[in-house]
Amino acid sequence: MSEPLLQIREAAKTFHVGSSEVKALKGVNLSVGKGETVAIVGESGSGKTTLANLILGIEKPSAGEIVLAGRPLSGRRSKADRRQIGLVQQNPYSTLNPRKSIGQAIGLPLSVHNVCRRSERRRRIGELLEKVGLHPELQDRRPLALSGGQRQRVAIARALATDPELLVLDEPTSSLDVSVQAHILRLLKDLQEELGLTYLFITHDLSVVRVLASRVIVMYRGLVVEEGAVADVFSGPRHRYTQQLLASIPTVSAEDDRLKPDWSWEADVDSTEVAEEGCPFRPRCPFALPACAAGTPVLAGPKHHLHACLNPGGAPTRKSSLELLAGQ
Amino acid sequence: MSKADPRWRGWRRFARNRLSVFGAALIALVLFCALFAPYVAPYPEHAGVVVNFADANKPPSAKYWLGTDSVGRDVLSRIIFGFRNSLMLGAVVVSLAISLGTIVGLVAAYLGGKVESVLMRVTDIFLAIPSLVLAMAILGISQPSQMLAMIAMAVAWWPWHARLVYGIVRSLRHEGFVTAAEVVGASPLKVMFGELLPNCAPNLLTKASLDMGFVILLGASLSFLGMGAPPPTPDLGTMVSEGSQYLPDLWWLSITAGLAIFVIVLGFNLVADGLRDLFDIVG
Repeated sequence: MSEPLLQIREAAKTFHVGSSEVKALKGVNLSVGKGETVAIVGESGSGKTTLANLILGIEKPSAGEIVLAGRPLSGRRSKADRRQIGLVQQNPYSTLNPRKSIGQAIGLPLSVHNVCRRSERRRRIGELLEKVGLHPELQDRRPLALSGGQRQRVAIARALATDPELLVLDEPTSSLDVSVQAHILRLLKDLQEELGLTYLFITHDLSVVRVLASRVIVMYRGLVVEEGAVADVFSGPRHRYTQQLLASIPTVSAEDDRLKPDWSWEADVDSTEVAEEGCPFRPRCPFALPACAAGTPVLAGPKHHLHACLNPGGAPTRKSSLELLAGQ
Repeated sequence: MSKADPRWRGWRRFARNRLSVFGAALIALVLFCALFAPYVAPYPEHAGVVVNFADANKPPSAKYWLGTDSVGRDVLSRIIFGFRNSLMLGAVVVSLAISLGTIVGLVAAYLGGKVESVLMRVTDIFLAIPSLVLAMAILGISQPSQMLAMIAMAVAWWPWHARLVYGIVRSLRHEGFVTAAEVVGASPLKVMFGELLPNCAPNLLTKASLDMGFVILLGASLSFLGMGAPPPTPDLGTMVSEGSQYLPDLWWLSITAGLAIFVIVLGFNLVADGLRDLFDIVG
């Protein structure tokens, strides 16, 4: 295997809120190969956005390191390092400055990084807009004149302005119309093939994961609980949290319902209870063993499908969740 | 789409409010008088030291449209020259206050932390003292002069702008476009003045044109209290104050100068209304 583009080693982040501490990340290891699409899924508070912020340099890790293309990113980021990472955010209605034209929005990374001469900037912005399927003339318009889908295309064009290797996509489709989501996903897929981009998806939309990602990382309370190829994880989730997550995909027929796990995954547990020691999912897990409280389970299993569970669910004999999703 | 197009649409939106067009016309008239005062005023020399006891204390007539004061100077001419003073005062004070207030508010809200606490507490202290009292306290330090009066008023006025900008920037601080600019590596200065400031511009413009009126009033109050421009500079506030000694017999002295102040303040307030309508939709 060639050297991964992005490597995260034992990254931890603790926020200090008043006198209390919030451990958003508790030692996360992650590596993303060049040209790969990795999806990070998890509920709110799982630490997926914090992880993205560490990668983007918005937050500094409390411990651990982030390595991009062999160079550790620490301290102040150099411009060269910043160029390598592009960001597409969740809400296209807030990512574009309402007071600036589309051309100015895309022009900002061009001017910060001196990508091209001032005289060529207009042409370059036009090219970027065409690349994402928009008319180059749109650069004189304000974001107000654009639809949500068009704005998200502009945001993608802006992220591509510095020719990055890695795109961090934070819920890129979750605030769009369903009909527009498909177009954006197709655009992302095409761009990846054309430019050899590496994607890191932050999402809780499991159908997006299935369509776009090659590998999925499931996070829970600041820890990676399961990691593997999308097909493996979706067809045979091992960690109880992943099982619950996949089971919560809505189904419409009794036939589909029979495929859900045979344990009471729907039971409403008090999820505010935080396990200080041991497995973070323990308070919600019907299969918790005494050993689960002893120490945080480490990721184990075959290399293409790791899970951090002491009492995992078995490999499925039923029709898989992947097929379940496909059937929707 | 041509560049003139959005501007034209903006004017149409502004013009929809008849009153603000009227306000703009008032300001245009005042501005014209101020700029061309020596040509507009019937007796331009009356702006200076002129003694003409033969025509002293004359009520409005065909010769002196708004009458004459106790030394026989034409009130209309002095009002027209007074516009100069008032507009310059308003413009200088408002631009000083906006510059200082904007920088303080922007920096405090963007940087946060200790910088924010210190800057905003200082702002609060200034806000706690009434503008007039603060300006008077500063003016009390030395001889009254026009320059010092303007600086004193700017010092009394900037905290309002700081508060305004601070509020706007605080609400925008974590918007996506700010994060996007930061991730790209734009410097804090670029984020503050390139991304955040344009979003404050509509509110600042509206407030600036409202403030023009208030600052001119404050200036008039200071002059009324004898802390403004020293005589013989024609100043609307001074004219009101001097004329008030002769009320009600020589009513035209105070009333006309007071009406002149009223016209300026009204004009700027009406325009401010129109500007607010204009930016409401885009914002």
